[in-house]
Amino acid sequence: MAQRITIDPITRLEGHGKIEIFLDDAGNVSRAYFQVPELRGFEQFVVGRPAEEMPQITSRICGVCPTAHHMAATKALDDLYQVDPPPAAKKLREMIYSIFMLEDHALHFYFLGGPDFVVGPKAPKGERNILGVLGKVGVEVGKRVIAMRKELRDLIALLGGKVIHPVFGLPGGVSKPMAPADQPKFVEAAKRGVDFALFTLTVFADVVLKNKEYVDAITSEMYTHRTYYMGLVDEKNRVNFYDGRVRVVDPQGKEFGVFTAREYLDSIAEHVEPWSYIKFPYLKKVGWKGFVDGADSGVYSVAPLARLNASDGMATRRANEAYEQLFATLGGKPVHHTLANHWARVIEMIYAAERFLDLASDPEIIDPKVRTLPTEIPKVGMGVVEAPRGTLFHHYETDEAGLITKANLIVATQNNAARIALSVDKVAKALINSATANDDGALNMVEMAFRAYDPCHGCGTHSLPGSMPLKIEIRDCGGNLLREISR
Amino acid sequence: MIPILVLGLGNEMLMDDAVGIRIAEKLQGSFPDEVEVRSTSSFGLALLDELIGREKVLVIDSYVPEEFVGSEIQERNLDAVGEACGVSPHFVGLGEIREVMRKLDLGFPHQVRILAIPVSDPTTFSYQMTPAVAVLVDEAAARARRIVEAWLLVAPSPDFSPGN
Repeated sequence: MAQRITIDPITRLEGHGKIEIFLDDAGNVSRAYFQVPELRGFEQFVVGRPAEEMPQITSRICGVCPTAHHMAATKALDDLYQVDPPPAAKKLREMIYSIFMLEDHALHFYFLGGPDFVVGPKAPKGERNILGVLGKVGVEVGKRVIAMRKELRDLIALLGGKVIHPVFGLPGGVSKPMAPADQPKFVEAAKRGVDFALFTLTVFADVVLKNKEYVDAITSEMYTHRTYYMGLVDEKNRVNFYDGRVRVVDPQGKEFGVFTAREYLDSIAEHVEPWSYIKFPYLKKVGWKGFVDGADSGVYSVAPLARLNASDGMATRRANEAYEQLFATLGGKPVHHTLANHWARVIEMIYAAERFLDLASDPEIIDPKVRTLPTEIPKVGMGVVEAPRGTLFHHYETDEAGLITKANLIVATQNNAARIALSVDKVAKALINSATANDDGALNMVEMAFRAYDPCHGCGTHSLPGSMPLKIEIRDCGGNLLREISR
Repeated sequence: MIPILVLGLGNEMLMDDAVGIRIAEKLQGSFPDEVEVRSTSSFGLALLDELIGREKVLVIDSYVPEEFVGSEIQERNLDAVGEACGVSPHFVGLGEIREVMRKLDLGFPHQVRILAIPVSDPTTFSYQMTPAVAVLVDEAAARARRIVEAWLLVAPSPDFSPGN
């Protein structure tokens, strides 16, 4: 009898998601679906709002990655009003953004992905949580993570007004300069950030790379897809979170294309499936060939590993050393192993911290000139940044009064949606059958396939404080509930 | 650190999810200096930052009842929310945060009370709450005042350290 297994909602995933696994009559997986069952309608909601409100409005899309939306919206407003911010404003923006990336990546490494690798994918389910991570890394490390994260968030609040919804970016600049007296605080915090990021690389090496079982999992075929990769790069094709051109490499690592934010519609199209509200972007010049990998399929990936694959290196010394080590260890570029995202994320933590230090130490960053007033009539604006989870596009069109007439957002998780669907299907087929349908460890390894992307369908909706349950439902082909597992 | 915190949770552009924030706004200026009123859209582990160094915390948040009609504002102690099950840093609740803070010796508040407001639609994008929820703001604010005023009548716990 055919069975249906539902994992809903997915644990440790920001926002709501759902995995459905269909077993055939023989008890093997016929197809696994990664679904986003919620419809948000955000782009319609903002029609009619003044464009200059977009950095504040879009940062309320969710409480997880407000700074990424705030910065993408701010850059889209620069483009909309055809205004170039002063150098100090650009540096302040990038510094705030580097702090955010460091903080967000640390959260993922220790607490979101941590239960998979720090505690272990086959650990008892009662230990695969934040408390299990603390038990493994120790109280002192836990305190250090919490303290570092708080210090970084306080710095964002010092410049940005609020950490969760910054009031910082304006078309043509930022809302306030850095007070010279505050600069040493940022420099000292940045030095601690570099130490913390390098320490995290040591933790990763000790806990993960020295564990053969984990390394085998990272390099296993079931967690591998040979796709295109996308990421922002600077003029030397090095990773950049805040600015640059979008570069795409093919599954062999050769440059496939480079485009600006303004040109994104020439390169990206979106495919729709009836079983999910999330759209599946693909490379227009390759085309949609279904949920398959390879050079003939337009499926591509964003996020930390994709950024490293799409670049020629990191712009800071120690991050670049770690970058070289990753590719040397995993057989050269590009690396197609999804779980290597965790390693790439730690390398990006080092880059974010080093870039934070470079910018905080820059004498020009305290220049009081932080705004170029816009004078042009708005029409169309597009901005792009690298969010922690990958490339993020904001596109606005307005009337002459600057009221939004059309908005289009392609968020990182959308960019990854097709590859995530591939990953879930492939791992489910490798691990799940009627005999393992009740195996919590096997189901967790299916979830690991998408958690590596750090997906975010952030809804920001609160319920009474409590935990998000994991529910697994097994149904027969008639839809009758055969078994329900909750944790 | 101010010992008593009133914390409104929610997202002001998700219709009824704004109710915690609106109640916090209503309470601004209602209390003496020992009480801080804040609101935030943070959730999960980020709430830990709000709790560090507090002695007593009143959390005001929404809940979605099975049927909105006839549902009432509820007051709960933290123990009633449930034990830590800890599956996500973004969806961890106060139970998990309590365990983390205790494990890391970060000084979890001595008392956490939750004022839970029934809501009808906390997911649709809108700056307007549904009328049936909007009318609960005054009643909820009055209940919040009573809770905090009762706290203010009690001397701070001798082992409370505001420097936590």
